[in-house]
This record gives sequence, structure tokens and C-alpha cells, in this order.
Amino acid sequence: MRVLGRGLTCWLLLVPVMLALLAWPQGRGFLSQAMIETAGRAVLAAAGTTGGGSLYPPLPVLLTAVVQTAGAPLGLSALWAPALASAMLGALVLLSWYKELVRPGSGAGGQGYGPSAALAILALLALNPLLPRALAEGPGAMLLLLGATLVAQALARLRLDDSAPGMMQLGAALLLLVLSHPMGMVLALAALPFVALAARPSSLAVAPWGYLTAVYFPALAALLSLGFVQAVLGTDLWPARALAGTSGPEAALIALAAGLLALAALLPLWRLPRYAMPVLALLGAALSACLFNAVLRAEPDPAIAALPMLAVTALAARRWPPSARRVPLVLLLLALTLPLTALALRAHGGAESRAWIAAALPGAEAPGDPLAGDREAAALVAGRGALLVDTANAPGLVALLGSAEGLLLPGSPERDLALLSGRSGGVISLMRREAGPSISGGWPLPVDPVGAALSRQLHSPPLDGKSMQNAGNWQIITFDRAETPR
Amino acid sequence: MALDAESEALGDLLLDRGALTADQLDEAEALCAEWNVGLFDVLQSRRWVSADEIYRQLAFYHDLPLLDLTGDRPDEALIREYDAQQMTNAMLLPVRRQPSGRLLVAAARPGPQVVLAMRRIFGAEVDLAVASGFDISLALQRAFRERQSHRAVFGLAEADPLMSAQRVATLPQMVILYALATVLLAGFALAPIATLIALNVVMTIFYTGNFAFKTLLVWVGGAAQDRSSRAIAAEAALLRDEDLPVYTVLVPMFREPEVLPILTRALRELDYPLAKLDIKIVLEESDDSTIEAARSLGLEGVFEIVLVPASHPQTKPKACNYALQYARGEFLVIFDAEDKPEPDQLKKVLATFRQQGEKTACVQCRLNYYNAGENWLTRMFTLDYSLWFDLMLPGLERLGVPIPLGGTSNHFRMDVLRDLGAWDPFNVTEDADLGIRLTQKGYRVGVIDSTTFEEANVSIPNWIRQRSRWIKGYMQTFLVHTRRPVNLIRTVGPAGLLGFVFFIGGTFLSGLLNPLFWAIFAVWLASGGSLIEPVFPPALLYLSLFNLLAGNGLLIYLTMVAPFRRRWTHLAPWGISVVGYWVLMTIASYKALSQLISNPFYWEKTQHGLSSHTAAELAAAKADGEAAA
Repeated sequence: MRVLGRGLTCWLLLVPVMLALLAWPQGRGFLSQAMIETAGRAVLAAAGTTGGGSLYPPLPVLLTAVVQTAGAPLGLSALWAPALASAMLGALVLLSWYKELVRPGSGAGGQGYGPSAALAILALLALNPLLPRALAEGPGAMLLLLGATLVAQALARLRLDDSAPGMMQLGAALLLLVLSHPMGMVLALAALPFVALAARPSSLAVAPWGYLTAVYFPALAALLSLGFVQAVLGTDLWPARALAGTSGPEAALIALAAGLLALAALLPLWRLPRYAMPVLALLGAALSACLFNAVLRAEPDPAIAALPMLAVTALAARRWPPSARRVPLVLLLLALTLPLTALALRAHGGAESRAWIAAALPGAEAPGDPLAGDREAAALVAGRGALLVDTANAPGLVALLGSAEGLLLPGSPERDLALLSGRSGGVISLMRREAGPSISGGWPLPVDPVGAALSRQLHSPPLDGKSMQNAGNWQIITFDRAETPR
Repeated sequence: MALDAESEALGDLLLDRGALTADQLDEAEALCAEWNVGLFDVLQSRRWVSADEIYRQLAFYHDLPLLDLTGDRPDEALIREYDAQQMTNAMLLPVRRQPSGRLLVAAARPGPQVVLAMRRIFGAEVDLAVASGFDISLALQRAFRERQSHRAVFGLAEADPLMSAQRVATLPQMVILYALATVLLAGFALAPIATLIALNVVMTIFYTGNFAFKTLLVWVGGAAQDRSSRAIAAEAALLRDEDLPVYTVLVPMFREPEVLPILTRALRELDYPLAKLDIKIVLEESDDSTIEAARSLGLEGVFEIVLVPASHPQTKPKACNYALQYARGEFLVIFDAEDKPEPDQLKKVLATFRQQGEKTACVQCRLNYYNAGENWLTRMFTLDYSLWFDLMLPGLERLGVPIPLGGTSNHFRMDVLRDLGAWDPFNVTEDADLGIRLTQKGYRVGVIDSTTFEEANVSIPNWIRQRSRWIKGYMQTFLVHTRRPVNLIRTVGPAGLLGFVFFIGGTFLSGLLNPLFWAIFAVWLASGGSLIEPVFPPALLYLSLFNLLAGNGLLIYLTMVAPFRRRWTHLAPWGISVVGYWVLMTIASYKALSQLISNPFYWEKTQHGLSSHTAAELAAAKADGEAAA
């Protein structure tokens, strides 16, 4: 109980630190598309709907919805809820790394660090540009990092004790990965051969397929379950449109820069396969995931694709064999990693990473407000009720509204009525002014076919009782209350 | 260590008469020193000399007459005048009052201590004779047959009626059940939808709790034990044979003569001095075939056959209660006839008792199967047992939740077992009941890393019979221990109560509720949701979906990881098919419920010896037995 209390206190102290890391670029105008989408989807999730959008990935949205719901009475805005969730997860990741760094063990490679050395290592890990970048990306990226951390710890544990909880931790971590971020799914896929590399040879020798089936069952069951839920709830599971962003093999270069310590750790560990193999397997999995992503294009920003390498680095620091030179060497390598990663990020990071760098550096020109086009419309329609909008494609607007109250949500009779008739008394319809579907970071949102039909009707000649107005990116059409469906 | 005078003389006499070879005597004397027992005890654990010959020489050495109590029947009325337990402990028997007025007393082991005991029990006016231990035991059983049979059946029920399953449900329990049924029916009549929703909420929350509790158990149980297991193994290795106490081994059997050689072989292979084992093969006196099989094996003198008088209910706990009255050990363990305990089990148990202190009154060892790969059922059964014994029971121990003991390989401190009134003969899972009773009385149950391998059921009908008895027993145990709910909470604590409800209640309730949920799911799939929507408001729908997908997925996963501790990873993929096993559990649950109402104390017999592995084990055991003879 005391351990739990101490952990909770440390976590509570770390959350503001993480928030500060996140708030600086956000205060200077950087807001990731993932953060906006998560905020919008969480607003809808809190109302018990997906708004016609995709279910995937569910965990960051659900977590944000919980934070939103809990924070709303305290005045927490819907847009800050994912940031807070991200900071909370960041604190959890750091705490988990610290716990692992100081955890006592036995034998060469088993001993943990003292508190001061562990704190120094933790500080250098936290200052690696990938971490604040991931924090700013949103809870999905932080869950990806947490999942990668748990996978790393579980693989290391499984190699040592081959226990059922180790297997459960690995299964749960893979489950967390695939439910948290598309890149998590890629990492889980890429890790498949490397799990075999990290496993205890004697266990694997008995029945390799039995072993791998048990490891991957939770992830596969979760995906099948999501498919089932999609069928039951009639929502989209997978992105329907082609991806907008692309990420080439440059993610691997960022990962290599961030994974300098993990690479170096293989040298002193080469005589200790039970410690070296998990590190080697995780290095392979993280780099393979970057290369897989170049083909699968699950994550457009190479910086986020390279993020799992940070978890590998934390594990490698823990597994570095104890010696008088261990602490200075590890600190030196981690310190070297900082400029290397920053340079790699600047050279190979995606558009959002570059925008984040611009927002993070005091002298640089801050990026523009990505929600500027939504704010005017949100201010205009807030509190007016009966809003008809393609919710799945308007996360920014939904997040700015802060609540699903007043929105005509998919499945509601009022929305169906408005869509079927094309004009309904008292309904305010919002249509995007720009052509083409809205694109989000990573996975595009599906087109609402019924909304498209409405669009055609709304662009037909003016009708009695219909008024139109432009606000930012939006065209707002209002039908008089007197207008009745025909 | 030098031999005592009796042993030295007995050895010389047997050697002189050619009953024992010089090599055998040398070996026996070495064992005497190693085990710290007399030559008589060592010879009882070997098949070198017949029991008759040993007693003949013993009588000769002590210069006492040798009585044949089968021909010269003792006076049973006279025997009943004295305390059965004292006579059993000292192996003394009053044979008859002689014309001189002095009492003729038969002793199996005449010696200074026995003479003292004899004077304490029978006074000074006695004449001593020698009779075989078997004869004395048999005469005692015959004389106290009615009294001890009554005690075996009604001992617990008379001492603490509420703790006995003799009454399936008490009046307050019936009233509560009746009230619940009334409320439910009234709800259906007045507000059917709201009632269905409420019922649904309760069932769904129960399922969620059940899933969560089992996951917690596996997590905690899997992480526990490693360190303590090493400490126990280290202490067990340091135990010296000469310091070990007498250990009673009860082997209750009924109509299974075919598997007896497996157990006798396994007991001979135990890393424990055979001379310090008090082995009771407990048989129903009507079971002629097993009695004949046991006698024809020509077992060593440490194996004693106890015949249980016919009475109702004819259950294993009743037989054990009966045999317990003749047990001489400081500790006691129960094994099934086809069991193969790991050789160091008894020593590990003693080490555990020593390390954990007086409060630990029972140690449960793990059970698993030696024929796991025989067919789908044996694989599933193995996964089930791996989950139960390797992960969940250690989890229960760690969380301080009452542990329902499992079938066999539970080891007791004899004094505590007797104080508690031993097993409930009316409960068909008397072991589970005793585990909860031990916790309620303030004792601990330890779970250790030592396995007894058994024969997994290879036949589905046989499995359903066995499982329905277990589930019926869990129902009985649940009903018995919820009769004093305040006392239950006070003694086991809130966590213990929660664990009891989910572990004992959850086991049979989930089996009973499963078909209801499966039917709802089928209706849902068939109707597209329109029929069930009224009783599944959105929040409940999400929770039910969570249970259906995550909960069941989790239980499947727990089944898959269960064999990892033993590195039986080849069994993991079979865990996916555990849903079929749940269907069998449901069938067994309904059979159990119907039997609880119609025939609560009926003991569904499990047929052993059906496995081809058992046949191979049997052949090896027979060959081994013949070689040893």
C-alpha cells in the first residue's frame, strides 16, 4: 500500500512536468492533427457514439473521454483533455522506466541503478526530443510508447523467468499496442519473428507455434472483437480512404539515432544472451516496424514511427552490465543521443514534427492555428442546437463545441429525418467550404455518404426559409422552424 | 547408531532360523540407523519375512505367548469398556478376563512404553501376550464398528449442525430463496422490462467480477511462490530421515482394484522412510473385488486395509472419517488410488509446516495429469488443472482467500484435523468444504510446488459424472458456509468473502448462467438486436459486449497461459477450444443442480483406469512389484 502511495505521489508530481513539456509548443500554436481528432472523437464517445466515424484506435479516445468527463466540471476544455491524458500517460511511462531502472536483480546485467543514477538516466530519456514530440502528438502516441515499454519489459522478464504473468504482460502489452495506435499494430506485426528470438530457447523448442499463439492471441482476439463490434454497432472499423501521409525508411534513421545506447549495449552484453537477446529482439522489432511502416503507411510522421525505440533504449540502459563505468557510459551515450535525435528529427521528421520544432524553438516562427477555420463556426453555432454536420469529418469543430449536446448524431431519428428530407425546421447544417474530404494525420476519416447526399441538396437552388452563411471553413445553412419536411 | 536390544535379538533370531539372509539383515540394520526406527518397523516395510514369522520371534524374544485373534476371538463387550483411541495408539487389546480375574491383554509391540500404556489403560492386574498388529486393529474395528461408524457419519453434524451439509438448506436460507423468487416473480408481473434489466445488470456485473477476480488470481498466483518454493525445497533437502515423524497416508478406494499397484509403487518410491508411513487402504466392506485385489498384492506390513462398515451416505469423506480413527501419524495425507505424488512431496510438506508455523494446518499440493496428450478432453482437463492448481490456488493463498482443497494430496496436521471434526460425509466435495472451514476457524492453508500426477478422464460421460459431483459439492459448500454470513465475514474478511463468492459461487453460477447468455447471444444474432434491445439499454449493452468479447477472451487467454509454468506450451493453442469445455461444464452444472435437489448425498463414482497411459503405468507397477517381492 505504501509502495502504491509513493508511486501515485511521484506520478502526480510528474504529470505537471509532462504538461509543461507539452504546453510550451501548444501554447505557441502547435496542435497535432491526432490531438484534434482524439478530442473530437472523445466528445462523441462520451455521448456513447462514434459519430459515424471509425472505432479504431479505441483506447486513446476512451481514455480522453474519461478525462474529458471527469475534467468538465473543473472547466477542462475538450481540446485540453487529450493533452492532459497524454501528460498522464507520459508520467506513467517515466515512472515505469524509473521502476525498471531501480528494480533490484541478481547476476551480471541484473543489478538495478541507485536512485540518483536512475533519475539522471530518466531525465536524459525524458529530454530526448522524441518524448516531448510524442507528448504533443497526443494520447495515442503515448499509449504506443507505453505499450512498447511494456513489451520490452515483458520480453526481458519472459526470457528470465518464463512465467505466466510474463506471458500475460506480453499479451497485454501487444493488446495495448494494437488498440492504441496504427503504428502499434505495425510494431506488433514486426515483432512477430523477434519474439521468437527473445524467447527462452527451451520454451520455444517444445512447441514454437504454441508459444507464439499464446503471445499473439490477445492482439488477434482484440482485432476480431473490434470487427465484431463494428458489425454489431454498425460503425466503421478500418479507414476507408487512401492514406494522405507517407513515411519512408527515414523513420529508421531517427530510430537509429534514438537507439544509440541500445546498439552500444549489445557490445558489453554479447556474452550474456539472456540479457542481450531481448535487447537485440526489440532493436530488430523497432527498426523493422519503421521499415514496415514505409510500406504499410500506418503513421505518416517518421518521428512517431520511430518512437518505440525510446522504450528499447530505456530497457538497454537497465540491462547494461554493472561495472564502475556503467553509469558514466550510459549517461554519456544518452547525452549523445539528444543532439543526434534532434538532428535526425529536423532532417527526417514529418511536416508536423517540423511544425513542432518550430513551435518548440523560441526564436523560430510559430506555426499557425490549425483550428482557425473552425473557431468562427463553432462560436456561431454553439448552444443553438439541432446541428447537422458530418461529425466523423469535423473533429475540430466537435472538440471546439465541447459537447455532443445539440448535435444530430448518426442513428438519431431527427438526423435521419433531416437527411431524408434535405430540409428540416430548426436544423442548422454545417458543410465544409473547401473541396475534398478532410484528411487527418495518419488514417483518413470515412466519408459520410448521407452527408454527401445532403450536400447535393443544399447546393440546389435556394428554398424558402433557407439562409446561408460563411464562417471560417464552414458554410452554415439554417432552415426556419416553420419549414416542414416534405 | 547401535541397535536397541530388541532389534538386535530379533535380527539374530530371524537369521538363526533362516528367515532372513545376512545381507538382508545388514541392509535392515543400516536402515534402522538411518531412519531411527527398530528392526521390527524396518521389516514391516519390506517383504523379506512374513508378518507371522516376525510376531512369532517377537513373542519368543519377550517370552510371551502368541495369540491368534482370528481363531481365538476376543471379548468385544470387554473391548468396548476401554478407550478406542488409546488402544489404537498403543496397539493394545483386552482379549478376555481370565479365571484368575486378571485381564489378558494383547500387544503388537511389547516393550517398556507399551507396558506403561497398558497399566495406564487397564490397570496393574494384567497378563501380557503378543498378537499381530493386523489382528489387534481388526478386533478393534469389529468391536467399535457401530460407534465409530456413527461417529464417522454424524460426528460433525452433531458437534456443529450448521457446518454440516446434512441439511441441504436451512430454514432461513429457504426463506431467503423463497423471498427472492417472490420478488422476481412480482417484478415480472408488475414491471417485466425493468425486472429483466435489473436481472441482466446483476448477472452482467457478476460476470465482470468473475473475470476480473480470476485474472487477478492468475497474476498474483503466477508471480507468487518462486522464492518460497526454493526455500521449502532447500529445507526439505536438509531434513534427516531419522527426525521424520510418522505420517499417515489414507487411500480411500471403491471398486477400483485395477489401479492399486500404481499407488503402492508410487508410495514405495516416496523419499520418506517407508517404516514411518502409516498407510491405510480404506475400502468399503462390501467391495469384495478391491479387498481381494489388495490382499493378493502381498503388501508390506505398513500397508493396512481398513474396512468401512456399510452405512448411508456411502461417500469418500465418511470412509476417511472412519479410517482416521485408526490413524497413528502426526500428519496425514489423502491420495487417490491412481495418484503418483512426486517423491519429495512429504518432506516438502513437513518443511512448509515448519516454515509457516502452527497456524498452517493444511498444505495443498498441486494436481496434474500424466495422460494430458491422450485426447481433447484430457488436454482441456490438464489446462483446467494447470490454471486451477498452478495459478489460481497460489493466488488465493497470497490474497488470504479461503482455499477450497482439491481432491487429493492435501496434507493435514492430525491434531487440527481431529479438532475440526474432520470431513463432512454429507458433502460430496468434502475437501473444498474443509478448506473453507479451516480458514473460518483461523487456520491457514498453504499451497506448495509439489505435484501429484493423476489420470485425467478420457471419457466425456465419465467426466460429466465427476464434474457434476464437484459442482454439486461446491453448491453444498456455498450453502453451508453462507448460513452464518456475519461469522463468515468476520472470520475470512471482506476480501475472503469476495473470493469465496466468486471462487465457490462463481464456479457453479457461471455454469448455470452460461446457457442463458448464449441464448441471448443467439437471439441477438438471429434477430439483429431488435428482440433484445428493450432489456439491453446502451450502458448495459456495452458492458455485456465487454463481457462477451474481453471477458471470454481473457478466460480463454488465461487457459492458454496456464501450462507455461510447466513449459507445456504445446497445450497452449488448445486453450482456444475451451468454449467446448465450458459447454460440458454447463451440462455438469445442471446435472449437479438436479442432483442437489433429488439426491444430494449421492456420490457419482469416477471410473479410473480407462486411460491407455494408466494401463502402461499399471504394467510397469506390476513388474516393479514382482521384482520387489
